[in-house]
Amino acid sequence: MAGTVLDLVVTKNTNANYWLVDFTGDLDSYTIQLKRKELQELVNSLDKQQLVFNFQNLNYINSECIGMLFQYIEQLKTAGKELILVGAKKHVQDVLQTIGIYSQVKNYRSFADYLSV
Amino acid sequence: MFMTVLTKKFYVHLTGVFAAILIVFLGLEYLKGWPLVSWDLLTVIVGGVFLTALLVYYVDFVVPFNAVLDQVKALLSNRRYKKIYFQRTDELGIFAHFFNEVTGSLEKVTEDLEKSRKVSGELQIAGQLQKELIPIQAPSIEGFDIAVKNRSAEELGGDNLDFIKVKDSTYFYVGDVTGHGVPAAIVMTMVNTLINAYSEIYETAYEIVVQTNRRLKKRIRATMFMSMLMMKWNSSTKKMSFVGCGHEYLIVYRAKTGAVEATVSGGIALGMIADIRKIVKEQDVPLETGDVIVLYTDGVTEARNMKGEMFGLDRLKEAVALYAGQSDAQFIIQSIAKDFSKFVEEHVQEDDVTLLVVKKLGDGAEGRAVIDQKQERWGEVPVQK
Repeated sequence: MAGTVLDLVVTKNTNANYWLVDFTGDLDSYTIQLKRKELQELVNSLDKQQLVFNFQNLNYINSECIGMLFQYIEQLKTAGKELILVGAKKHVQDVLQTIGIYSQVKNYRSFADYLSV
Repeated sequence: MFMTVLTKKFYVHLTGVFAAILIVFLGLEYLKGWPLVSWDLLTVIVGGVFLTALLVYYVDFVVPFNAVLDQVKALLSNRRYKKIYFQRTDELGIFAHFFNEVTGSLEKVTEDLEKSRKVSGELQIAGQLQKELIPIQAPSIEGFDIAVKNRSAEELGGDNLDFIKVKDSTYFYVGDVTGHGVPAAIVMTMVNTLINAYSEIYETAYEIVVQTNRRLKKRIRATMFMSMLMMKWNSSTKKMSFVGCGHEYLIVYRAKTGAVEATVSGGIALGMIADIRKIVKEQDVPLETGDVIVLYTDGVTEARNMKGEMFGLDRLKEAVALYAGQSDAQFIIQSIAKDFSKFVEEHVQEDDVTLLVVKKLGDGAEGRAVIDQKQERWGEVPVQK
């Protein structure tokens, strides 16, 4: 809805095998219009093996944005890379679980859990 | 404004002309000796100058002002009007320019309104066509009492449901396409068509769903998908089963204990990946007389009230537990809808809402089915005609 916000903080750690994107706010039809280009550029330019989306501070995700996640999963898979989801709050996790996205993407309870693997 | 115009054009000219005549007159008087002319002649000269001034005033101000006024009157009385083209840059010129700008904007707005009316009309037709796809009458299934409520958030909805009877099998499903409006309606229609076609070819809900997904994935854009929960009743084996495709929980009320079970439907939404064979599965749902199945879309559980609270799965389960044992499917669904409506109050409906209630009657009992697609807010009594 107009008025919702979404901030992205991108960390491109040259020593690690991933880029990290921290999401803060809501992923809905309004915010995705503002951030779509930036996210797509990240997917296109990823020169590491994994792109990690940290949903620890993500409050909401709608079905359109879930579809966009799937698009990124496929694009990265085609390029021999992968999308990782970490830290989703319970209600976001429930939505993603119900839709079935976790059958296609690795999910960790937190970024620390991901790093410990 | 008028004084400024007259000062610029009229009074300046008048004063200049008058001054020139006066200078000439006084000059002649001085050269020829006083008095040169009589007072009568002077009166004629002054009168002539005055009439000239009036003529200039009429031509330079009254005529163009009336030209502008005529077009303004025509606009206000909804008659045909013309643009006004002046070369002048004074206040009348500004007024004429303003008139042209305003009428230009009005014409654009009128054109947009016409287009919008046309699109709205086409959407209404499409909405009507879509409603005809959702069955007006569900087939009655021996031994089952069925009630359906469905309300779209917009003219074209993304919630999907259907009943398909093929030989001794009856399939019924509830689905939810990403978003709503025209794109969702098109995907919904595609899925409905595919399922109907494949139900004639395949004998399990599993295979119907797998094949539908395979075809659908090739034809829709990557960001679109449809969650679905499909049930299958086999009247020969007396078995009920389901296949989940990334949809909401399957709710089952157990008449013997009064318990309400919410089973994860599982699987993955249609249109997300090409082959869902290894991800979806068909599972049995044992049923006894009095048990009730409730299918719904997330428009129900994610609806918010004025405080921002969601209706949620727990409230839905509570309503099912309260009403499912009391009466028939129609009563159950109306009661749940009333509770839902009471909760959301005046909050705008942001998503389509669909409920499907199926109550198991005794073996051999005559089947009943009621579908309610009225667009009044749930819980409201339709106006008696």
